[in-house]
Amino acid sequence: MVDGVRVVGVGNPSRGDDGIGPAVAAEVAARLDPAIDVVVSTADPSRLIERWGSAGTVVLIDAMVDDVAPGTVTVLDASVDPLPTDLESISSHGMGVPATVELARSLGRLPEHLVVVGVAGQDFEGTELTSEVAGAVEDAVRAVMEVVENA
Amino acid sequence: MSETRTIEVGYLARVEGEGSLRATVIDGELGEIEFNIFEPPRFFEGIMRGRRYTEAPDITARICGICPVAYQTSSIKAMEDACGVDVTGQLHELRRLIYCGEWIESHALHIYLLHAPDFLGYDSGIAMAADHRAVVEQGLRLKQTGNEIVRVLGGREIHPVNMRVGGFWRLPTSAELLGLATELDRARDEAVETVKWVSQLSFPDVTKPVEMVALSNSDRYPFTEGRIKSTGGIDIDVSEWNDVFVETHVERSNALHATVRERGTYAVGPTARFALNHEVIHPAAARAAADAGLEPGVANPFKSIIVRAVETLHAVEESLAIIDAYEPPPAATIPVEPIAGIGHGVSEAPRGLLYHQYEIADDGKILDAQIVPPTSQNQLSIEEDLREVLQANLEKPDEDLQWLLEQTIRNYDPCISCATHFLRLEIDRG
Repeated sequence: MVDGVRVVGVGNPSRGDDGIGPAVAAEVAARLDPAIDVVVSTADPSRLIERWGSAGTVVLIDAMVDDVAPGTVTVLDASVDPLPTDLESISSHGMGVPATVELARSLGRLPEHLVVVGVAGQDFEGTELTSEVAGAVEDAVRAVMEVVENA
Repeated sequence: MSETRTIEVGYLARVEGEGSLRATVIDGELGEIEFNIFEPPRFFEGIMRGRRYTEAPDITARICGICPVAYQTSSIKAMEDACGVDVTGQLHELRRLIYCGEWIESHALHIYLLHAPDFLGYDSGIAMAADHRAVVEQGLRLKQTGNEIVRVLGGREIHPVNMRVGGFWRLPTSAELLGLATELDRARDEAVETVKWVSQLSFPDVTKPVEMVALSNSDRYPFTEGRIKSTGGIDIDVSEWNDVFVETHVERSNALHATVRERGTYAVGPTARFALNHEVIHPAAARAAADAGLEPGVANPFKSIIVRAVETLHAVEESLAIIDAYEPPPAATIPVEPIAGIGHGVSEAPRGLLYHQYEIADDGKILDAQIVPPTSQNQLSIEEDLREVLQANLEKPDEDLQWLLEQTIRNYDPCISCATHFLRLEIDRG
């Protein structure tokens, strides 16, 4: 049964800019109707697939490493195109969001509509977001709200 | 004129870390094999000096994302050893329970998503999942069961924080343990099915005997219990590790290589544990192993995948037994006061024996630390396996050879970021 919209912040607040997913999720939760689920998860495949459950629309927020300026927000529609994944994203230490999403696609477990909001990070140490990434929270929240409101 | 042939693997997937392999073949004869580990050193032992003895578990847990419980356990055991304390009873049982969770989580990931694709001809777990949905779903559920044990006992899934010198910060509630038991009941059948499934894979015909080392005792399949024993006759107290084994620096590697003094190569891990402890594994796991035709001390390194499946079943059964017999201890922790001296701690990480040694001052400051992870103990054995496999398959085309060599390395589920990291392959044939 398809049951609406779910927002999932992925990341670890104890690893610097990796905490952007939970930070954005917290801000989105404060602004959304409480009936819409906003949760935090690791990228572990079984956990993440369980988190999005049977929702028809899922928005994942995660930090990413890219050649763009720190704090740049990128929105990817994973229901249309595969995420840019490479084999090294699966290792003895687990899987990242792209590998987990593509594994879910192979298993036929993707929600009908899956959007990934990625925020480019730069420093993955410590318990604080860098100022560039903290400054991108509002842009990322807007990107999430746009998906939720149009779902 | 000699024949030249070069094979390169740009990056070895499905292991943790980075490095390269260089092999020389001159006129069809295999020369040197060099494992170049170029992951930068991580200096964890240096970081530890000057910190409090109580901080070691949470600092060393950061060495590894998949086996933090092993690092915490070995460091806790070492600190308690230095301070003359032995944590027993239900607190010890809870330590075994969280360790079971780590084995289930780590073994399920490696069996289903990292190693099985090698045997079934897929270049990734994602590609395999499209054709084997039910099997991969089963693996993910099993892994989730392990994650959940670590989350409940450890406080969180990634880098758990609830273990401490002397016990735990917080005890699990009955409701939490009941919830785990429900999941474990389901996982039991899945673990049995896993052993059957992996035993039907097709295994390369390789025999490579090696001296195997693990904790061993006559009562229980070991997590922290027993003496260090080997299939070659070693039988020592954990405090004697440095008397029998030695770590040496090799120029090509940022990880130390461990050997048996004046003897050489040895291996740790599931196959070693099963070889030295098969008589005390849970009866259900022993039955599954016998049904799968698994002999203790199996000398085909590719069959390590079956041993991991058998150990997964053992961990599920043991978790259920611990929860069933659990009675809350009077306190979550017992006092451990620092005493100046040296402590030794060993536990059986998913990838094998993990040795910690610390020297602490009477105020509890750490003066010195030594950490010997499983992968640095297995490096020479991996190199010898590669030599064996290469020598027997030199006629194969480069692409097939690359596949086989990567599979050979994954037999050990190496964690190079723990040892300090893997793999670009280059074979110079001329």
